[in-house]
Amino acid sequence: METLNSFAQGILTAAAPLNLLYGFAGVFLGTLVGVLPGLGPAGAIALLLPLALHAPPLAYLIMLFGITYGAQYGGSTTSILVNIPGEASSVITCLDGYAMARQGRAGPALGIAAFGSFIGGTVSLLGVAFLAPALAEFGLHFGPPEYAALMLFGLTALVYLAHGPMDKALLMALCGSLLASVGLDPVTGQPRFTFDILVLRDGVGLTPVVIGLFGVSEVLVNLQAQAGEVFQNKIKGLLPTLQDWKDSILPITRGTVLGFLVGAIPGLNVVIATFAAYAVEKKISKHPEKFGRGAIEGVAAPETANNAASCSGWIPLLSLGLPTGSVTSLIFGALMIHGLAPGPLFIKNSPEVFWGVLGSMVIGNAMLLILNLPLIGLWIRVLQIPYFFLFPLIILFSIIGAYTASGNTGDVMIMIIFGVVGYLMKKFAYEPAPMVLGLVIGPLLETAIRRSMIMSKGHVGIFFQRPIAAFFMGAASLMLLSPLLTRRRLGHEIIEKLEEQ
Amino acid sequence: MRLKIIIVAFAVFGLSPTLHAQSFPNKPIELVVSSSPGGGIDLIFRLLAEDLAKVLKVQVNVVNQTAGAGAIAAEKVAGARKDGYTLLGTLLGQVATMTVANPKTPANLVRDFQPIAILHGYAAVIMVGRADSEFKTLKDVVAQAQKKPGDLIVAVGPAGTSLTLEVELLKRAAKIDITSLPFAGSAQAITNLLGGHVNFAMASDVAAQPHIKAGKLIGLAVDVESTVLPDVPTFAKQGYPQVNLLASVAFLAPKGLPESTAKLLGDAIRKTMEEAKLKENLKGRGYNVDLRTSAADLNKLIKEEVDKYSRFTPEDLGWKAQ
Repeated sequence: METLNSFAQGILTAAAPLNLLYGFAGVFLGTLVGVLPGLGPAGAIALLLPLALHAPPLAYLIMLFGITYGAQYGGSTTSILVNIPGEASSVITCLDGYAMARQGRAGPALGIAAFGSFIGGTVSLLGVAFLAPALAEFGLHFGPPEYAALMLFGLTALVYLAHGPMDKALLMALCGSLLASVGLDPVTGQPRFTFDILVLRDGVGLTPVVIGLFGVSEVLVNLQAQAGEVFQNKIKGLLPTLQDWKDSILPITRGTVLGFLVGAIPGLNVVIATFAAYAVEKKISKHPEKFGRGAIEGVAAPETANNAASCSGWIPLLSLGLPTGSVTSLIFGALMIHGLAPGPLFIKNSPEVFWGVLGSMVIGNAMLLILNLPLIGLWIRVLQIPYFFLFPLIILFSIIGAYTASGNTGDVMIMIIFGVVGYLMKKFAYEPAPMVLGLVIGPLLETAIRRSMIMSKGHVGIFFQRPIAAFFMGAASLMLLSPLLTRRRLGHEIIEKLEEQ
Repeated sequence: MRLKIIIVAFAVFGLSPTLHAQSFPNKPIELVVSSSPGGGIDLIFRLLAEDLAKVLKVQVNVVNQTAGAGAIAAEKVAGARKDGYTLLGTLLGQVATMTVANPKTPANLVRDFQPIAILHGYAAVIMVGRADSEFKTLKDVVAQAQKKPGDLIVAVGPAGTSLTLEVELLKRAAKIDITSLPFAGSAQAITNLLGGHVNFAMASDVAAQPHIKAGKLIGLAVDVESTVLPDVPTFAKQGYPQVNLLASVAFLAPKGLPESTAKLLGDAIRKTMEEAKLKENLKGRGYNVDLRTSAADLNKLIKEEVDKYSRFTPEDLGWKAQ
């Protein structure tokens, strides 16, 4: 009851005109940086940090938070329209979102992404309000061995990402992990595979690789195709139909729960939540063959999960004072400037800030929905831009995106190289998504395993003696073995059918 | 004849800088910061740049260039025009490690840079333990490590940072063995300490403070007296003066900058820092505001910095031996 009261109070605080104004500015800016590939919320917040000394504290914080979840709304737009993920957390949306756009269903895809984001974000907020302290304590139980087991479990999701041959998908995941090993060794700090090129010391960045693999390669493939073949389908509808809703409502529910849980564990990033949500949908779907060919579930689930995860991602920071990534560190910095050091006592000592920000996120999510729905009509007109005009624009935005992510020309080179790699992959029917999964999970898995080994002085038992780690190891084995069981069942079904005939 | 040459030389090299100095600065200054945007170090430079612009009456643009662990930023500034319009804002240790690992680097701290101002020991590194553990002081830690070498685990930062190297120095000074477990930084190290996955953590005092106040963690030692945790004793006071890699941030210009320009910039930075609002803000955020701008002081400091890191191998510092 007390929580409800505080929550209501928070919403009232956030509804004050000044806070509303800053909130709107935040979500608007967030949508903008979300749409632009490469430029992410971290960059936008860093630019706004010096403003901290001059702006009213709460309103300023509301704006910064607005940028972070606003970006999750915007990220899917370019994924769906032109196959370039605006944020890494919208990579997986490319698979079915872009396929839908090519069938003339960009409107429903964008619509379900916006509704899913709204539902995921809002429900996740309620979870933060009621469960934050308990979940934060739970998150602390995840040490290196637990992460290692969880990542192994995550890799088994790979099986469901591929819609082509499994050997090719595994090969691509392996390539992704290998790419991830370029740069400084996370344990010894020694350069690996850098060939004395300074830029490679920082590794092959996710952003330039993703923009290259998806965006640039798509343009190259389309250039080869006859102009006019690209989006030959008429635009059908602006909003999701009743059938779309029926198909999406369960994926949205599951995406919310999954995103919320993944986000609450410090150190897992939003990207992993989206991959997991997609994998789950494909696993339990009655028609998994439709995934990758324009299944609306493949847009609804990950787009819901990324918003839910980006909301619950605040739990470690707000209830324990532990920043878990670049964006949360920036907000930590902003809070510090105002003398509001986040820590275990933060909610108790500064309730007006905690609840005010939560309240603003409820309002902000509603604003984003209202902001994004009318934009759909505008966005899908992008697809009517003549190709000779659209493609150079896509390349231009890709280059700007790769450059702004780090301010480094080396990353533009990496993007172009991966554009060519992505083109060749498409020609030879290799899929880029498993490679991105390898690139995301590879470094997390490697550091977790190596840290565990240091902790245990080389004994593998550490992965099986700790309960949470043992649980995920068991789950991973189950995932790997379950196809054997289903195959046997399927085998029986086929035999039965044959016998009936 | 020789006198004439000297006079001409004086006119060219001696006088013209003064003429320049009168007009300096008359266009925007670029401050290349080698840390990622929004981090603690970047924030110092951004806050300073904003006020510095008011004092100098020209724009001071902060450009983040983090690639190559700061090497690219350092090389860019080392090779820039020696006119004071391109400055490097960096953690001094970052350039010092490059210099030690490869003295022939295009960005050698002593050979290629002219220090303008150094914020000495800008923030403290603290060794923290859990409040509910049996180790209440540094002495307890050393005693246990002597009894069971390598048994205790301390969460440290990435290779080459003071979070990691100071543990190495402690191990050498106390002749003990503790297992170092590297993490991405203070926050991750503290998270793993709170979760009970490690025995101790090295962290910035600002990151550790809320957890110490909440009674979850205790401070065992700091490398320099902390503004936010004044009660925690330094390593030196507890018998280990060798643990002293004080982190300093610096404004560096390319070597060969006219002396008057360097002085003008140094004075402007001092004037900016003296301003009560900024000073209070930095102090409140846990930063020491021990600013050094005199030329003799600065040159001594950068030599000392290189000496401090010379105690390590290039591998310790995260660079391949050349």
